[in-house]
Amino acid sequence: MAESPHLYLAATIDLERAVAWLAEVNAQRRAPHRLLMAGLFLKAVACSLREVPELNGFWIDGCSQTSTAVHLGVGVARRRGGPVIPVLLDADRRDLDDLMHALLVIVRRARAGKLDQSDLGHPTFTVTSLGELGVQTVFPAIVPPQVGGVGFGKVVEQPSAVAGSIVCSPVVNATLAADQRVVDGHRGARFLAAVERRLQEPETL
Amino acid sequence: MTREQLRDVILHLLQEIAPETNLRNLSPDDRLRDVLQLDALDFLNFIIAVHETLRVDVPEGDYPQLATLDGCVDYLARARREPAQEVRSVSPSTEPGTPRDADITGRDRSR
Repeated sequence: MAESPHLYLAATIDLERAVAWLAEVNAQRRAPHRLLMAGLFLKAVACSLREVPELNGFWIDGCSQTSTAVHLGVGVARRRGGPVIPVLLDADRRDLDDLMHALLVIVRRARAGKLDQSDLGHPTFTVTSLGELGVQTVFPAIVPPQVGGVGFGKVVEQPSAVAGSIVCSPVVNATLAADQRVVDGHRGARFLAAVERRLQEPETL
Repeated sequence: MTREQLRDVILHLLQEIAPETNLRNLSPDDRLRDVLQLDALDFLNFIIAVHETLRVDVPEGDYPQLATLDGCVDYLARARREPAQEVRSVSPSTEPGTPRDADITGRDRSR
């Protein structure tokens, strides 16, 4: 496995609106239709990859190959047997409910050791979310031949100064890893800004 | 269904969510999410399984009452005695992508 030159960029994203919106939506839904923050992260990432398409693809034989389809690899930690990365195909074209349902099913199968070959597929970009394990910041690895991945840490309450007073709001650290041969800091920053913008408007995801 | 039977159903559902854990060592007051290492996705899958198997829909605000095995048995026994009020239904207006009231998306910085 060849080492690729990694570029890391991180952003702290305010989730106050996303948290409030999820609570509001879930209060009106039965369990099978409820949403989790992980679903919002996936959808925001999938849509943002369309804005910065260089991140969504591969580095093969010294060339960058951008994928038109967005197939998200989802890093799933397991209690035994190490992590697996099942894939959610066409994540950018699926609506939030569909993506959430697919995520719940794939995580259940992964943890039961019941993934089949079609679940593993060929992701074009990988999302790792380890916040549940208490990790505040995740530095994702790039899975070759992919050229990028993003990690989400734990959602925490963080104080910040707003208009002269201190307020607390839920935030998450999002960290992008990108292959520097394909993506420069400017493009990487645009991607994180797009994810942040989309998470400020959860109702549009 | 007796409390004992209810407990067995709950243990069966937990075993399906966390197949490689040994539930015989689980104490009635162990915190399920810590001891079984359930993340939010596992826990929602458990709540969905409860909904499908026991016909009890647990609102998000009640999740803390299901933190332990004893808590689950107490809550679900009570919920099954008192038929659920049919107030929580998924109506088309709750689907994502439709415009929402400003107060839902508005940011409350006053607290």
